[in-house]
Amino acid sequence: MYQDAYYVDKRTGTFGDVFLAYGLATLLDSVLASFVEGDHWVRIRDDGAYYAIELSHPLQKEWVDKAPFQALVPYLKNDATDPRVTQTIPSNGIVDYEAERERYQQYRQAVKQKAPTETLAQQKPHPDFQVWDWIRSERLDYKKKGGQYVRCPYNDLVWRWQSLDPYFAENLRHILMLCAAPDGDVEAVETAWRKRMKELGVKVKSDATLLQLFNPSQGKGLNEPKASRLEMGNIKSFWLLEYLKAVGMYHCAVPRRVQGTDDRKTYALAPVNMRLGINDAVLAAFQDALWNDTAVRMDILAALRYTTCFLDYCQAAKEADLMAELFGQGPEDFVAGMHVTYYKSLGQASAVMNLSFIELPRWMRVESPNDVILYKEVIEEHENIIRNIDEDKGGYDLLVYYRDFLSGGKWKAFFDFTADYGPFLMRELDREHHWVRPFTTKNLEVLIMKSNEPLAPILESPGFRNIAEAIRRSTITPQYRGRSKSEYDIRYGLGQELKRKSLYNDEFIVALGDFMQSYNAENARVYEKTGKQYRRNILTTDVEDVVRLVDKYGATTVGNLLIAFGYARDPREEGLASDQTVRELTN
Amino acid sequence: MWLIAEYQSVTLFSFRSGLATTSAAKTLFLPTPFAIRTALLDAAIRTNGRAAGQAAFEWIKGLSIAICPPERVVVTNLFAKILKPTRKEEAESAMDRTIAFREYAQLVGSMALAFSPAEERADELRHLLSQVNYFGKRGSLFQLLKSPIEVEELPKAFVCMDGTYLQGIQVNGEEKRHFVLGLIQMMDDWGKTLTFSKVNIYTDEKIVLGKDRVRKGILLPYRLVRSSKGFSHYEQLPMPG
Repeated sequence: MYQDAYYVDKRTGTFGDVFLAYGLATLLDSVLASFVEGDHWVRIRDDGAYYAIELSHPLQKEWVDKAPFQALVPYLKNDATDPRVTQTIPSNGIVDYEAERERYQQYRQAVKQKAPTETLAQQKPHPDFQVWDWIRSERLDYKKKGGQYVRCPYNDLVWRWQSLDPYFAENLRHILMLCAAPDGDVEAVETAWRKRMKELGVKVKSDATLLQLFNPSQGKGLNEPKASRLEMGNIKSFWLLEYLKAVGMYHCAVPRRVQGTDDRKTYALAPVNMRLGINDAVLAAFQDALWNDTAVRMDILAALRYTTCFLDYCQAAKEADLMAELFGQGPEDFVAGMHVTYYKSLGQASAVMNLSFIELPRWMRVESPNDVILYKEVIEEHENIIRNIDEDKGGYDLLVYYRDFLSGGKWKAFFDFTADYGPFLMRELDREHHWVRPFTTKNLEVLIMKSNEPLAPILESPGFRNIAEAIRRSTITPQYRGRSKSEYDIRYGLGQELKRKSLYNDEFIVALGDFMQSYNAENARVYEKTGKQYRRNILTTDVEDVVRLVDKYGATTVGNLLIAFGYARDPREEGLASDQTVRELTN
Repeated sequence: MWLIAEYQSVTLFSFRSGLATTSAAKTLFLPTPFAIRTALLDAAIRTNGRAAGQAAFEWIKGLSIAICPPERVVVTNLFAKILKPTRKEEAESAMDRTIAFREYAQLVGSMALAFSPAEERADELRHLLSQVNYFGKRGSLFQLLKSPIEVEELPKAFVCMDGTYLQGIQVNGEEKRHFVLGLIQMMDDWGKTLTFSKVNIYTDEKIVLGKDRVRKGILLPYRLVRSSKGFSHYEQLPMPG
């Protein structure tokens, strides 16, 4: 039982397991902090069927016996809180929810009024406010008609932990007993704890209602051992586990509201191999970075922004060991992604509408510190693109494609996204929404060449590059110049046409041939009219290159890439947005 | 001796974990030993009558069960409109409409079940296995692919479903084993104290959790390959040894 690793089984497959793992890690960290002088750490490692909580120093019996009481989470007080609570719990263990809410609303008001940075910094809400607000969504303390005080289930756990302060060592010992090996026997430990409390003369319940807050698949509902009756009810469990879940929530949960609705989404980090200290530092940055947003876009931004926060942390070299560990790996080797629970508001109550898992992008392999910079640029570009797609104004499908690529790793979804993003971009440019930007070829190359190496020969082929450039100069380049100023036609629908034809090799080659022929003819026409040629002709060698690639990789792959690169901006080409910099090209 | 029956899932499989409530029903990937035994009992009653079912109850309870899981499982996350008992005191209808989370699993590849019947029960079990066309929730249909076969040794690809569990104060089932990567699913099974009368839904006798209905942590050889908002894709891990 006194060892350097403890275990938490993944019993429910939801973020309840993660909360428990983080809760145990926090408790063990507090014990180490009381007895270990100098450096110490606690690491959470995903071992498949369970989480292993590894300690820098093995726990000792003496530490457990003498461990000072640790109040790990605060009591959320409101107007209906029993005065005995405020008398019993030290003031630093109580949070006045209403006061914190007031502070949060003032901050939001200040943001709306574009207050100066210093004012905003002063009024910044507590970093845990969103968690408190989420707890409050299931009702805080209240008074019954007769004046009897009722504690909300979260506060009840905090209160029970606090009131068993003299028996902290017993609680700790039973938790260790339960988590000493995988597949711990909850019922047996609960029975042992109950027996021990009876011996000590303590009258206390050993069970607690499973809260939907920590256990999204176990909210109030029907669950009968025999299929002969149905009765709504709550499931109960060992209260110490529920308390640890409440503790763990503060170290991994990021609850947010879905913009424009009363619905909520809670993101909970799923660690693969993370030290608690680093986790907390990255989480703090992530909480600042993720704001309420629409449902799909928030999933995407959550994954992208957590990755950025993680890379920022590595880059700042606050933790040299972490940077060294990162080499040869990606952020997903430290945090796999996030459990996401969608709570649909039904007025007074809410229902769990979705339980899912959003992965962090898996296309990063950090081989050198430069790679971190490179990947951050790619993420920033993707984030800028995603931020400008409005989910409620026709961008829903685009965002769903992108989310399936980002989280599900589906390249097909990415190419569907790029194929649809082209027309979207052209529409936006038509409306002079120049803040909507295309991908850059450089970052597309990084994305594809680092994560999908077999496709590298396609991107390196001069024929492929020239034809992608021709597509670009027939679509977004003249669009940036403006319809009236461009010498060349804007070919609306070219991307969709190529995408449609790319199902079959021969049809794709025919479609591409038609485009090339008309492209060169248009060049000749403009040259005849103005005496100038602003873009290169497509050469027969380019055609030969692409036909060879289609034979080898198929029209779908080559077509997808041509569309992606054709609608991307080449940073080496100057003046996409300025007509003064159009270069004169001679054939 | 083991009798092996190979089934193909022919619809999406959905079977709420015993840990979950109807408000957000995460599905198990595979039928539980409780569901498998109950399907056999159901087949016995439907084909041979109630008395035969009652007689079969004891030997079905004594069967060891192992499973060879399908190669892949893809779980779809959805929500459905459901009815739940109303909480209103003066309601016009006994049920209210609401929504709830539901998961449906596509089992890619066949699923084989292995049983250890006494020799004299093998033919009867073979007959019952051919009568089973769903496990767990009605609508999670399975098709028996061929007549069950007998083998002496249980092939390595099978996962024994007799995990460690507590019944009263007694620890039953397999000893703790070396853990491999995989994922745990909490599955129910018939407890030793379960009787035909308790399992009969037309009697008032209760099934007591932890005694009549025991919960086992079964380690399945799967790992999460990819997932997004709408799906999770699991792939089988190679079996150890």
